[in-house]
Amino acid sequence: MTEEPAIAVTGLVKIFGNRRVVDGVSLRVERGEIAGFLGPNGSGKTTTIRMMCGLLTPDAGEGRVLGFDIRRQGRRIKREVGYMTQRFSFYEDLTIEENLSFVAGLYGLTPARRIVRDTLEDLGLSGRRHQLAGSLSGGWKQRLALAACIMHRPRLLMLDEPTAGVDPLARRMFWDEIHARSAEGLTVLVSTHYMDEAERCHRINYIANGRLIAAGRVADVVAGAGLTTVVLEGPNTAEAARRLKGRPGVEQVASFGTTLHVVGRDAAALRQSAEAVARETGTTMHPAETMLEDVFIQLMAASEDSLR
Amino acid sequence: MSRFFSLTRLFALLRKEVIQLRRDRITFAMMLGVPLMQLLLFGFAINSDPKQLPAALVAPVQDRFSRAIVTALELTDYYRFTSPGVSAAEAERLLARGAVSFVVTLPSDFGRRVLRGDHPVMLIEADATDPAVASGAVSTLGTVAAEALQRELGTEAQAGAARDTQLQVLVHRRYNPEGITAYNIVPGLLGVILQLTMVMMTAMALTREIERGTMENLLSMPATPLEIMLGKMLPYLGVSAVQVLVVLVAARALFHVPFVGSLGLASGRHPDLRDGASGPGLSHFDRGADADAGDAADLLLFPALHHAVGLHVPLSRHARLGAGLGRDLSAHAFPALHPGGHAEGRGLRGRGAAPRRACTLRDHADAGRAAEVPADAGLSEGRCIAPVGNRAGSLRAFSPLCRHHG
Ligand SMILES: Nc1ncnc2c1ncn2[C@@H]1O[C@H](COP(=O)(O)OP(=O)(O)OP(=O)(O)O)[C@@H](O)[C@H]1O
Ligand SMILES: [Mg+2]
Repeated sequence: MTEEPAIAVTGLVKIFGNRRVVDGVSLRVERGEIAGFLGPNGSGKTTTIRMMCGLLTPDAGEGRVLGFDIRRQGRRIKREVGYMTQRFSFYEDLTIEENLSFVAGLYGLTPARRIVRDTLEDLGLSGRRHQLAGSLSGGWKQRLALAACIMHRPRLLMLDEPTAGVDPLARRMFWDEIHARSAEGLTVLVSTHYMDEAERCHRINYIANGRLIAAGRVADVVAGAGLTTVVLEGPNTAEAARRLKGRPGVEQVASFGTTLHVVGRDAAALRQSAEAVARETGTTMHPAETMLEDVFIQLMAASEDSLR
Repeated sequence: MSRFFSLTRLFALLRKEVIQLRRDRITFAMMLGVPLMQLLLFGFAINSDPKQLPAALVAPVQDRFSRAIVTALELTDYYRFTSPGVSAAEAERLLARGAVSFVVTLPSDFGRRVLRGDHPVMLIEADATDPAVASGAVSTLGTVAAEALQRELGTEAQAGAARDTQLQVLVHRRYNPEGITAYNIVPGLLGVILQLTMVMMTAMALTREIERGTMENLLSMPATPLEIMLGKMLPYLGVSAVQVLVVLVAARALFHVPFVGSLGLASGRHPDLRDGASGPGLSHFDRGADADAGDAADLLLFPALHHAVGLHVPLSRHARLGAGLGRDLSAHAFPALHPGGHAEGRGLRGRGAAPRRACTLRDHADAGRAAEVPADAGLSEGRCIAPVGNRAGSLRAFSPLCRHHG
């Protein structure tokens, strides 16, 4: 049984009204892995996570989370999983410590008092233990939420956009924490819109319009997209951007300060078009590595095309 | 657009508010549900001229006169003899328990006196806890009974000169002889107050959890829906206990509703008190008044209105239609107000209760029924207690009231 993956679900479907919000999603997350869950707004990430932690019943599909059936053993799953909701959902009129004591009580942790104290200590919340959760800033709220969902020592964490609105330092600390726990054997599924965070994951799963359209290690996903990227640099990138649009092989043009990233699937055509424009506008062109973001933009555009 | 007041801004605010109102289910409930419920309750269920009230008949000798009176009373539609021919002691218990609203007593020599034209006397004890119950039923009583007797005699005498029966009807308004409405209404309102506030507060508490988004978190942790519901409701039992206390104190201070026992002690610990406020989801299942007789010892407190009062409106005042609903809201929601086992002498202590005096064994003998007194009845004390009529002279006629004669 130790070989069984932490998450193995197949063909999950959820229908709201007449929309297939999640449409045949299959996920596999190995134990101890940090899995990224990515996709545009409204693509069905939260809904999928809810189905996997027993909050929603799938309309079709099945699977096991930590070896428990997601349809029939929701209660066991809840006991073993720490779910951090996308929206802060602890009690704003309770202090940090009271919130944690409440959670400790729900999980029946003993000795509750010591566990709460240790958790506060662990996550550096001791100094603010008596502060009302409602008066915390975003970063501290996130830390409280994380504390609350790892306090009962779950074997799997499902974090739904845990770092939205959190400053870089706090995010760095958060990810360090996640990696430390993962090294101890904790499995983490984390949804995010940040590319740098996606790159911190062992594997990523990309979902669009309720369908899983890419999965694997970051490098594999990037390679699998088969994109070529060139960078134009110089004083006149705005003009270059305008001229590049619509040229053969050019699929994405994005400005980053004084540089211009040009992406496309057809490497030869792309290079040819870019060279021509570089010459016309007096910019310099050199090849670059394709970034994950480029891949996602490509995937998003593709899934939108498939909708039409 | 003024700096301090702009219609545009006001309209923007109003529109937003209206949209929110339209989407808020609680507002809908309050808008439609509450008025309808109250209307149904107060419109259909409350009747200030209640009919078909349960009555007991104490008549050691059943003859055609007693039958005539029973029939006549039942024909008024006010009385329904649910316990005909019980003993005086039994009748007293029924009245105390709230099982009957009236006890009609015809002394053993009633028929004889009617025939002799010798001032026959009958006694009606009404549970005046709710003054309205007593008033309608009692007001018509005298003439109805007299006419009944007259008819009975008339047929007997075959058109002979109808004698004046000279029937004397004694009325005892038990428990609340002065007919003070507040004694009934105030404790009754307790039920209403608890119902309204508890239902709302608990419902709000649940909605708040959903609105704040904490419900998702709660459900993702190992809490079951039952636990969540109970967790929401139980604290409000405490809240309702405080409300009960506030109402009881106010009832005492403002309306001078009499209490027996210690208010402080009772409010904190009587389980039935807390039962009354069980909030939504748990309807008050009929606990049955009888069960309470058992906890007599536990009853430190019961407003002197005793009886089936309980609530805003006593059971008897609910029309049939509203009975189910009414029951729920009334007597049974608040069984603590049932007197339980109050033997004669307890209960209305001091508060305008029917005058009492000790009746001695001699009284029994006077009544000519000494032989029927059980060997050990009251002998240990050498006397028994019985309420007596308003006139000392009527004592003898009422000897059946002494429970040892029952
Ligand atoms: N309870 C619901 N009833 C109806 N539709 C819903 C419900 N919950 C979600 N949806 C719809 O399902 C779709 C997917 O929502 P979901 O929250 O899973 O997306 P997401 O990937 O988490 O998006 P985001 O990145 O913005 O958090 C959305 O279009 C949303 O409107
Ligand atoms: Mg989401």
